[in-house]
Amino acid sequence: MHAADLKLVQGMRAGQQRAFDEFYRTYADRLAAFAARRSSLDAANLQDIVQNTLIKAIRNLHGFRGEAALFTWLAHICSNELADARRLAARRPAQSLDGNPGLLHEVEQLQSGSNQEPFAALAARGQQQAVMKALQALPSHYALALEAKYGDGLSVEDIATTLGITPIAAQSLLARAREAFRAQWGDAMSAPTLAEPAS
Amino acid sequence: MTGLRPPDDAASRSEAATERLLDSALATPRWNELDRARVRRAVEMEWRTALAAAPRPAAIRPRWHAAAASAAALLLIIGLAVSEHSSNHRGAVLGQVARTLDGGMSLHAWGHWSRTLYAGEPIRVADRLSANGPALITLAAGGTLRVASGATIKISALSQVTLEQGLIYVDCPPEPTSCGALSVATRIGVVEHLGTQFEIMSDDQWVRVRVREGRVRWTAHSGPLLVGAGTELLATSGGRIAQQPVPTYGRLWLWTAALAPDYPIEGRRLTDFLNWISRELGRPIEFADNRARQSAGQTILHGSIQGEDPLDALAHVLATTSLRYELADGIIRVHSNP
Repeated sequence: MHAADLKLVQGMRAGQQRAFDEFYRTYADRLAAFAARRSSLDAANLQDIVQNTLIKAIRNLHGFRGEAALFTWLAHICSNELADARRLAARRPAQSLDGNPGLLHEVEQLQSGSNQEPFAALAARGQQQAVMKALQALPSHYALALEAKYGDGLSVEDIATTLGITPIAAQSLLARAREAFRAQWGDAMSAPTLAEPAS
Repeated sequence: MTGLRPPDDAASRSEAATERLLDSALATPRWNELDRARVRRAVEMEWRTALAAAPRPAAIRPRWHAAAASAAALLLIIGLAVSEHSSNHRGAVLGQVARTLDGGMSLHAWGHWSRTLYAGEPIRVADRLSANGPALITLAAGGTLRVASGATIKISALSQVTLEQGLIYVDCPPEPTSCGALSVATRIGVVEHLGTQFEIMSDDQWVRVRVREGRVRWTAHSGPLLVGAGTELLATSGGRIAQQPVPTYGRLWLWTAALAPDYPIEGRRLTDFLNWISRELGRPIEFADNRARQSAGQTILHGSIQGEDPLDALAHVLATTSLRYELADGIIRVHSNP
């Protein structure tokens, strides 16, 4: 039972502004990062995803019973939003660069080399995608714990609070998650990837 | 007996490499503050709507000592309030906090005591408030008071706000009853609205008033002075006054647009929405052709623009109609699509 999360949700349902402030402060940035790692959407679309996720969560606060951590629940809603966005994008015809100023700018930056070396940028993106793929193959609580620690910069104590476990248990969970990730990463690296084409 | 094992170099190197890899691959760019605030506004609106629609859950029963402490605090507050000087309208509600950003407003009382005011809380006569971040106050008599970060105001009476320091914006729409006889007092003089929008900035030594719409009456030692739209007045504590033209639109007023109240568009005519946008952006509406004017008068809007600033709302709403717009020479020119 995630008592602290349940209390926060009860506070929001009772109309406590402090509870809403804490909810937004704690989860908006983390959800934005969660969505960014799982998609190549631009900033505006990511905002929509986070906004829709939080709005859907607020509409369904009565359904949160504290059986899972609040972030796990939000991440689940966010994953569904991302899947919807992907389905929508798949139905849309390909757009020209003229109709997509953000992409055009990105391509121009890559072409001019003003931001980063284009190949280095592509390699970095490829590695990010490979890491995410390896994470997604792990049990979801391992992936969320690693993202919280290395992506969101949460302390072990904060992760423990989020997951409703002791700091020692959180430390141990992180060690197991890293071990599982290493194994998964080794498997992933033995297969050909975009970042490292097979020779 | 087991001796200490030397660290496994290969294992620790692998562990460090894993951590480096996760650090670099999982980092994401930080959200910029404007985007964060915009999403927050939309989500908070949804929360308030959900609260209004749903029955409130039973209150959590407080522990006895918490209840006792609350009761003692309440008695103390009541006692202090009674001991304060009284006035006929003391405690009367001037309006309520509609929105705060980045730290909100603090309500000060009895020396050093203060507490944060949240959206939905009333603003009463005799309250002294300081804005830790921008804040929107909706006035019970109509109109809004927008308070910039760092400003301190006191609600002197139902018809008067005292600006102790900082920057505020008063929007009293031109309807006959709007805002009543609201005035803003400063150390140097008093500004009375005459159906208007104006901004006022006050310091120990000077006051600046920028009139965006309508007129205001400035009253100081030197006597009253009418100041019209598009004029900036500077008054010093030494009694000197200067006036100069000021644009009624553009970057000077962006901070006020960011605090625009929500405008419910559902079932409203497009013309009404355009008039609201015109006031918020300080730009008159001009129809480029008769077809555009007729279409604006006949189009009924549906949906919501909650959480959007006026310029975004204009773009999004017109995109759903047969009209388009351009911002040019201080006006919003509305065309019908070819």
